[in-house]
Amino acid sequence: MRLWRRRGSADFAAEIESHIAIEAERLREEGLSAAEAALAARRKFGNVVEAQERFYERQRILWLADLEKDLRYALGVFRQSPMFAITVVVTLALGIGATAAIFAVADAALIKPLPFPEAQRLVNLYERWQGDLGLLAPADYLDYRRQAKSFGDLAAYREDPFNLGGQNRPERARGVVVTPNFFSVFGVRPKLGRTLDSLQDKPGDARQAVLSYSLWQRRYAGSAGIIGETVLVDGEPVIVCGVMPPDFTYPGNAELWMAARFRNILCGPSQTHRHRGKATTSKLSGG
Amino acid sequence: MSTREEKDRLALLQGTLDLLILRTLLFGRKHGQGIARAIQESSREELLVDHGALYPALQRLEDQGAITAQWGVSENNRKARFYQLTQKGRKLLVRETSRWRRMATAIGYVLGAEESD
Repeated sequence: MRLWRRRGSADFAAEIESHIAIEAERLREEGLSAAEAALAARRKFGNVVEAQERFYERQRILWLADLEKDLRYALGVFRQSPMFAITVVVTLALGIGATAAIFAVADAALIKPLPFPEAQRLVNLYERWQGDLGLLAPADYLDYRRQAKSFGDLAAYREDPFNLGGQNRPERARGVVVTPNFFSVFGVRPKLGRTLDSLQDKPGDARQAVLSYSLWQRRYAGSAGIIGETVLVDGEPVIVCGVMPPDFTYPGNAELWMAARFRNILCGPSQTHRHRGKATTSKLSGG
Repeated sequence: MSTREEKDRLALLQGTLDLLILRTLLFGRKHGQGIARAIQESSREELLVDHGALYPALQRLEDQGAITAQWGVSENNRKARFYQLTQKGRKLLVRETSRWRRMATAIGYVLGAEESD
C-alpha cells in the first residue's frame, strides 16, 4: 500500500526540464553552439506537453486503481473478521447517530429561532423555592401581572394531561392549562376559530379549549365543524373554540389548551402564595 | 558520437523498454537522460530511445516498485532525478531477461539460420 503522497505534475515537469538541459549540455560538448544544442535537445525529446499529459492521465488512472485495491482490501478484511467489521459499523453508526442527535438538539435550541413573532422578547419566569427552580404560585402570578412594569404581558401555564372522551374512543391528551392571554403573549393566531383571549371567565360558563393541529387532524379528521362543538375533557363538557396552526405546539408537544379558571388559579393553598406548579411565560414590554 | 542518423535506428518493440531500463540500472543509479544514452550506446547505436516515452515508462516502473527515484545532482552539477533498482526490480529483470531470450531464440528458429553478411 502506498502511504506517501503521489508525485505531482510539477515534479515531473522539472524532471523533463532537467533531462533537456543535460542533453543540451552533452550536445554542446559535441561541438554544437548553445542555441543549437538547446533546440536539438528539445526536438529530440519530442512533445513535452504530450508527455506531461500522459503522466497526468496515468496518475489519475492509478488513483482509481488504488481506490479499487483499497476497497477490495477493506472488504476482504471485513469478510475475514466479521466481529471487527460489526464493531466498526456499530462504532460509526453510534458516532454518527450521537452527533446527529446532539446537532438536532443544538439546532432546535440554539440555531433555529422560536417560531413566534418577536421571539427574542419572550422570557420564562420561574421562582426559586427551597433551592430548586420552582414554579410560580398563582397568587404570585396575579401580583406580578399587576405590579411588574418590565413585562408587556404575563401568561401562566401548567402542563396537565387530560382524558378526552366523547363520540370517539377515550384518549390521553397532552394538555396545558393556560391563562386566557396565553396565545396573545406568543402573538400566534389560531388557524380556525378563536383563542381564549376574549374569554369571559365567569363561574358557570362552560370551559373552552383550543386544539392543536395534529389532534384536530387525528381525532376530528380536520373537520371545520368542530368549532363550537362540545367534547368531554376529564368527563366534563368543554367547548372547542379554536384550532392552532401546525407549528404551534408549545409547551412540549401540547395537544390541547384549556383556559384556567379563576377559581383554579386561586384555589387552595395558593392563596398563601405557596407554589402550586405553574410556569409563566411573559413578554417584556418594548423599549 | 551521433554517428548514425536518427531515422536509421530501430524503434523499440512494444514492452521492451522496461526491460532495457532495468538492465541499464543494474550497475548503479542513473538519471533519465543517462538511461536513454546508455541504452543507445550499449545497443551500439542501433536502438532509438524515444525520450518522451522514457519518462512514462520510468514512472510505471516506479509505481510498480521495481525502481525508486530521488532527486540528486548530476556529474555536471545539475539537478536530476536519479533512479535505482529495487530488490523487486532485480527479480523482475531476471524474469523478463529469460523471457526475452526465449522469445528471441524462438523467433530465430522460425526465421531460420542467419545468413552471413
